[in-house]
Amino acid sequence: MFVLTSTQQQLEASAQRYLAERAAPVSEERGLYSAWPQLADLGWLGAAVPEEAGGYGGPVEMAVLARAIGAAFAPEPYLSACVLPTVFLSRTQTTVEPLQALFERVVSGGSIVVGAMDGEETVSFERIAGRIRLNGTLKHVVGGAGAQSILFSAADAKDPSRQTVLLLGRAAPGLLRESAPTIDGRESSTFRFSALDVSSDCEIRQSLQAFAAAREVAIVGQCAEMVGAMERLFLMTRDYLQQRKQFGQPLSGFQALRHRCADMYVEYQQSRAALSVGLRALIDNPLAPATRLVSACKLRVIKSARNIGSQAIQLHGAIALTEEYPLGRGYKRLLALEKAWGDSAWHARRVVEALPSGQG
Amino acid sequence: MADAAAAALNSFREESRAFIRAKLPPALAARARQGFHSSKADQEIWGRLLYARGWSAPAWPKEWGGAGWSAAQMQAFDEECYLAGAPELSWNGVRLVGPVIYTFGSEEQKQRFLEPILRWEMFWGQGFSEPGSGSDLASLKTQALSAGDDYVVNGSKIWMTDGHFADWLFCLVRTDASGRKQQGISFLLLDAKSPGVEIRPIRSIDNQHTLNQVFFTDVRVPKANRVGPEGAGWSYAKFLLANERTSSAEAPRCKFYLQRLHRLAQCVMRAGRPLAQDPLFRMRLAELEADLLALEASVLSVLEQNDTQADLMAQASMLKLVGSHLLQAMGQLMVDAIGPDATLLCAPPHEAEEQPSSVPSYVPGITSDYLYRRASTIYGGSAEIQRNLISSILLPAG
Repeated sequence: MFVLTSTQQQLEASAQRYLAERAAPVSEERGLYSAWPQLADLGWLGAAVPEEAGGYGGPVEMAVLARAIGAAFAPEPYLSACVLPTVFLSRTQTTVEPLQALFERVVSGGSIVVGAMDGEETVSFERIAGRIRLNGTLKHVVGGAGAQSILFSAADAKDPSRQTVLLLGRAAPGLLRESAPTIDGRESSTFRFSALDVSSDCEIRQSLQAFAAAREVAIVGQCAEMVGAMERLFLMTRDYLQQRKQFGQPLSGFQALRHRCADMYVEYQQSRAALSVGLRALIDNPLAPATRLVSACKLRVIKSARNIGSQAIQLHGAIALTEEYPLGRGYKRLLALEKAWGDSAWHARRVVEALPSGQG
Repeated sequence: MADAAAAALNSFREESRAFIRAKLPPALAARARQGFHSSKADQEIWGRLLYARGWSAPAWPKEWGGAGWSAAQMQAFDEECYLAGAPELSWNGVRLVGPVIYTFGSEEQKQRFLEPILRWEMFWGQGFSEPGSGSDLASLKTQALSAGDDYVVNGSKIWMTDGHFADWLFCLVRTDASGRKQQGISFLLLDAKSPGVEIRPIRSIDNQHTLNQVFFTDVRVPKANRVGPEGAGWSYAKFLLANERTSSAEAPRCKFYLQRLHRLAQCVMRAGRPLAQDPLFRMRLAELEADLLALEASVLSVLEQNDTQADLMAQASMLKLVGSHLLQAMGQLMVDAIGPDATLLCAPPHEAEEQPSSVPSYVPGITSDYLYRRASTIYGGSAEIQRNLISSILLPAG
């Protein structure tokens, strides 16, 4: 597993302290980004990118922050609106000058770019008369409301195997956006492109590999966020078992429940180990992280999350069903993270993609 | 089951189906199919339609306005209702307190309460659990102190489903704190509008308001509202649970889930093809169908046994354990089927006319119900309590 450097430990401690001490951050006007300026001041917005590329950290720092956000059940869309765009921009800014300025604005919190990942619905593009025409839908873009631009990939309408990356201002005329609240207290946008005509400046050519790599980083970030949430649910449950009394004794006196608590510990530890597998993949091959390992990480983390989530509720009993008790928020956060950017089935395919299909 | 009995049950099913098809308003069915908790208005509509047919309390004896149906007929009717999209009706009046009143109540209580319950003109709340008494229900502390012809009630009940639309409450209260905890419990009926009764909403993680906490502060309740003698409350609670011995398996709800899964298999597209063609989905669905067939057979088997069966209680606990877990597994497959759409927050139909257009029509209610059903292994006796009951029969202490 990862041993944090002392600087990383300080980052972790300060992140935990900040998140624990602040008042509920969400305001009506800025929504999920209410505290974004504070995150910028704390240096969070550049923490996923190494210093040599203009940031303050790297994959481990990214995971430390994602994990702290997970443990706090914090609403900020750190992965879609910070990790994905900053990692992408840090790798493409060297070749495309305006992106350098954009990268700096994103890290300082002056501009918000939200990244989207392919789902069932995709976006297609055509090059027409020196411009680009877009058709399709982008769904489940967490933090779309409040972002200035969206970053996404699109497939060539004439040959879907050819893709490109686009960075589009939200104010593009004709771009339709609809918001929906999510179960875990965030916001999810759907962008519809109906023969939308945009400048070819929106296309960032030769950046597919950078986009793919940024997505792998963000997926490992999801796993880190899930590990953080799981840690909190596990500890909440352990504490509850010691406090709650029925039949004249604390629940922690009943052997059946002691064993279940032990099982949660095991799953939590395995989820941390799985996260280290994902982080190792990012560190060993930053340009093209091994998708098999990233997906194995998420697949294993999902398994732990299901175990820990359902055990946490069951061991708490009815109180866990109330919105007031914090457990439910963590449970719903785990569910939302599980389903975004590839569910178990999606990641399972990538784990066994290299499996030979067998002779005859 | 003998051929003649099976044939009779089938023709009963046909009759039920025909009635429901003729009488269930389509708009009501469209709302109920989503899987959110039914509003009071929807329960009144459907409950009163059933009453008009003489079917609002079909398991009650005929002398009390029931149709005298067998448990097997009740089960079949419940299934047909679920499959047709009938709204779920609260169990509190017809299925829980009603039988206690007609079995153990005074003449006045029977005259006063049974007819309004039958007519769906009176809604009830169940006051059993307390903040300090969940699994250990017998440790309950809500106190009913004798004061002349009344009791003065103080304490609190929690997790009261539909308490906010209850006209009356049936509560387990402590009338005697001196002996064994089960012995000092009495069964008391309370007017929810009594001074000193405060009902506070509890928002649950499914984003709905169905649960409540009720506070009793010096509430005066006539002793005439006590059912049976003092100290009989615990046995009435056991009676009430025994009545619902097979329905606690919730097999009809599982059947509704299965129907929904079949629909999702056709509607949901994965990689350009319907989910019905996904081998992983097919495999999981097959296992759940097999589990449900076994559960249904299990329910029928328990229905056919008589009360002297030594391990009947263990079997009832088994049904609850299996049924509650099957519900959750089916709910899990529904959530997995809709993928990222499961993360969208949808309001129940009585709170929101429309969902955002990005929400496919088959989505609303799935996640909400999935979240609520985390409680299926907690309500009605948690999975741990059920295992205690089974093991105490298999492995008696001492």
